Amino acid sequence: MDHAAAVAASSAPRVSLLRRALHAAAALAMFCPAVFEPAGASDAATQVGPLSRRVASYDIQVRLDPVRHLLSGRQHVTWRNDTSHAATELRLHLYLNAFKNDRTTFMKESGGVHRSSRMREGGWGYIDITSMRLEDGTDLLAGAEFVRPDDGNADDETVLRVPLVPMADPVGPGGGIALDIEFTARLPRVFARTGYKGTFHLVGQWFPKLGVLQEDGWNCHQFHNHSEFFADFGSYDVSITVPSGFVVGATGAPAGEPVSSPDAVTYRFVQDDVHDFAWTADSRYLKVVRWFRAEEQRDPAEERRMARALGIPADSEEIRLSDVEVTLLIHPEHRALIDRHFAAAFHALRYFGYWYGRYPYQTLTVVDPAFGASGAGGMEYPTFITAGASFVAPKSRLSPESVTIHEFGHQYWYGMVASNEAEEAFLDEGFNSYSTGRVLQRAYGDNGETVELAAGVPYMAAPLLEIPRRPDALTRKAAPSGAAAWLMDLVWLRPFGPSDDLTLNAVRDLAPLTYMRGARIDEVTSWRRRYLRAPLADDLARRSWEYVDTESYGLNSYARTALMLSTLEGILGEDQMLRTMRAYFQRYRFRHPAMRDFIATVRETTGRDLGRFFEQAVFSSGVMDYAVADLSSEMPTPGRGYFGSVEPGAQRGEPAEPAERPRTEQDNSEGALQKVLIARKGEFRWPQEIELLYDGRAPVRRDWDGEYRWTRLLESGPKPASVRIDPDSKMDLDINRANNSRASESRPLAAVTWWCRLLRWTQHVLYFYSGLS
Amino acid sequence: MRTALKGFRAAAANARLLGWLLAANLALAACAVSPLLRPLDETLSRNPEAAGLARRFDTSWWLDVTTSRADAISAVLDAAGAAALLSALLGCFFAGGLLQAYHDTLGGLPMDRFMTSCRRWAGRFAWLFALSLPLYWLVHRMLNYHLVLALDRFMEGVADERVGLAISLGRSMMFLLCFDAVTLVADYARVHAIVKGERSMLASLSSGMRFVVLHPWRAGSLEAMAVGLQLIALAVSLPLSNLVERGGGTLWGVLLALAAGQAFLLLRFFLRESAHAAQVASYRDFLASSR
Repeated sequence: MDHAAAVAASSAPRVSLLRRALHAAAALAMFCPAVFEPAGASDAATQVGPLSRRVASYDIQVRLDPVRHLLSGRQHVTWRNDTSHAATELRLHLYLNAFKNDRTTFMKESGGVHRSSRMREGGWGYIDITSMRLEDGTDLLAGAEFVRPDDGNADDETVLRVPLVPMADPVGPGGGIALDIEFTARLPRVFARTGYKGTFHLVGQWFPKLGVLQEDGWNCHQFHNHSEFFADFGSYDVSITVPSGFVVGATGAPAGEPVSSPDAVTYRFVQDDVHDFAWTADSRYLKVVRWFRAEEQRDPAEERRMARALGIPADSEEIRLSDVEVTLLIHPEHRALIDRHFAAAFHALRYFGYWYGRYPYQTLTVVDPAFGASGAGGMEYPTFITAGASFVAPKSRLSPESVTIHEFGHQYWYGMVASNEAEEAFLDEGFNSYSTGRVLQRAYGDNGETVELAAGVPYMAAPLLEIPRRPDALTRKAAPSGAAAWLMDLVWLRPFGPSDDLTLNAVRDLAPLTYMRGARIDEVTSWRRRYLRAPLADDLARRSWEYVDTESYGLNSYARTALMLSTLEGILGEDQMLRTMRAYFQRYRFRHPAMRDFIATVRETTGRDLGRFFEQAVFSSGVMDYAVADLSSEMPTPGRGYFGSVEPGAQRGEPAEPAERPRTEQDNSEGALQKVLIARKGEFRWPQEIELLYDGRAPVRRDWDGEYRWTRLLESGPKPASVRIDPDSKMDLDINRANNSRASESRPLAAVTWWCRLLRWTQHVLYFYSGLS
Repeated sequence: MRTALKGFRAAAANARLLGWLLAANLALAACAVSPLLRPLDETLSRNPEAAGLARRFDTSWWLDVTTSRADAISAVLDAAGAAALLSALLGCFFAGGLLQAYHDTLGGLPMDRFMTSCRRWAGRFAWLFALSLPLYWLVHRMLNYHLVLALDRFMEGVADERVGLAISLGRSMMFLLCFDAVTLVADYARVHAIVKGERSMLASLSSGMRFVVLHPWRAGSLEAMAVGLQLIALAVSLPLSNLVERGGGTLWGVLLALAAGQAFLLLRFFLRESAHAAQVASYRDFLASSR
């Protein structure tokens, strides 16, 4: 391990004796779980005492050098062994080492590109522990070593194993330990959620953080391209020293007034019952503070709906909200979006609070990342979220609303229900996508489809067809390879510019004429669009680094999980789904649940064993696709052949003439036989509803168990005008809804209309190319 | 303005030739998009919501079409690519006849002479097109790659998004202008070839480049007028198009939309050929004045 000398370690403020005494008292209290049992099922906001089992608490003092983007820090960590086995070692995350060089596991897996950011030369980061001692001064660093439990990559230094034995005693069950750690770190140029750009600093995953000791050992994974984070709850007390003129925001609430020195200011933030701490500093921030006042932000209609669904009075405490101080740190060029940020945050506080339980913390900080630092946006930390906005922000695009609500939602799914983001990323991302979608639909309706006419210039329209562009100069994504791809490249004259530039595309396509202006998209369709890119790539439930690629990780963790939940809602009904989700949240907040816990909650709250549903939807990659294969009518005809007793002549051995069966009353009726063929095209089997719609008659519904490859309905009577599978659109997992219905009459003009629109687009594209010559 | 009017008159006199351009464009486009007719029919004709879907765009329905018929979509895009290249080559074919028509007569060129000119110049103009591709590549490489990388480094020092947006938009506009400039150079190269009877396309290209660089106002003003007229045509066509679209799903609606679409495209061809005819007139005037 690199034991480079501490940089300005002595400049980090020393921990005072009084503070040490207070920490010792708190640690003692922590080591007595009987005294500080967490909230359990009762309402967290009114609870006096800890909300969580405070296993790992941190008291950190850190100084930022914004010129060299260095952190020098000192932390006092208290940790309790919450298992039934003795702990002979500790394991810590050193996440910033993922950005140390291009050989780390993260950089190898990502290829140096993460979301919209790429690692730049000179933009590397690292973290270096310079001292680690027990309270009695025992040095633990000498025996520490980097370990690589996931892939054995010798160049990866994101997990540090610290043996306790023989330097110290193992920590017995229920016992505790306190460490003093000194460290230095260099932030990367904004990459993978953290870093700097100019004066903007978003400081996430920046301190040595303990893993989670579980019954079967340490859960402390390396930092992967697709994985996020997992840690124990505890208390954080962080003092941040920055040069004067910087505005600072962080997890938690400010504790006391900032302390000024000649060239620096120290801000102190505290927060109990969280499992991470992030902060930000920038000299360009505008700081705007508003209060979410519960009484002013009520939605009586929603309260009544909740009361009905939960079977409680509308004025019950269970659906009361609490006051929250919301701080927005926003850059000056986005000041026109201040109200929109707050409106989104308030909608999120309101509806998440109603549906799952009130937000238990007193503060929420929303950060607008700097221009060119979008890699730091769209991220969640306890009581601290980063959004992301553009200067040109049409209201119908729902940006920054969508990201603000989504990142707030993570306060519930990840922040409080602290599932393992590395092993079950879908549990927080997918659950949050589902919840976010519900809030967005409730508060704003559908989103507007957007294309970019140039970088940062949105046009609210959707192209019907898109000629694929080659990757641009700023990404390292590989162009499609192979002879066919090369040939199509040439045919489109792509190496020479056409089709590679956003603005030229718009001119080529004549966007105002050929694109669908004002196209809207609802949340379910946006999830389906993502899911359908590769529905067979992976099972939904995989550890985050084990998906086949980034796209599979994204569509499975986010979209497919959201669709799974919305389909479950279709099966259970809206009210029952609300009760189930609320029960899951209430039971597992401030704990570390797994998917099996959610499945158990579904079983307990519904009284139904939906194991088969989850087996197919979560633990396999089978897709659902039911289709109306045919709809036809058959008129009754007179029968031919032998009916009843045979002619006497035939009894004598003479051949008998076949005779028509005499027409009966039934034959003379008007009703024909309607045949409906329903097919199962996917491997996912689930009962389906089928609806036959008639002109001037009430619709008829039939059930099918959905098991075999097909079923045929035979109905006497008039021909139905149309047949629909899943008439109430509950089965959001169905990968093709266009085949879910069929009309008896054909209307070819609709298809011709759309074909003509595609023809128009093609003609204008060809017009462009003919103009080159 | 006088030159532009000459261009309008010349294009109008040869309006029937524009019909050939439109017919070729329509035929190529129809062939390219034909693989989608059957999938659209299968997904829409028996859809109970067909009448509504004909008039409005439903993202969910379109998503189902494009994913369940991904192969057909892919085939259409491949075919459109091939059609685009063919379109460029057909442009080379027709360019000779059209420019000859603008150069020779104001009363309209007989069809046989038109086709003779087309055949005579097709090969040379195809070669000229190939010669122009490196210029496009250079512009694309410089402005969409090297400048983008340089600006990306420069943007590290830009804190305000408005400044960044302006720089980014500026680069985009610069690329558009330079791309159009290359097209203009090729246009004047063809004009030079026709007016001077120049057989060497390298010499023509060089003359075209010289003309555009040394007489930017003369070349640029005609081009700006042409672009402006195209924008006006678009602005007029948009509300009409919206009106016509409302009749989608009915026979008259389909026919009206088709007719309106072809009429607008014909107008675009007319405006473009007017600009080419004006280029011929302008170049001739330039040569006359420089003698």
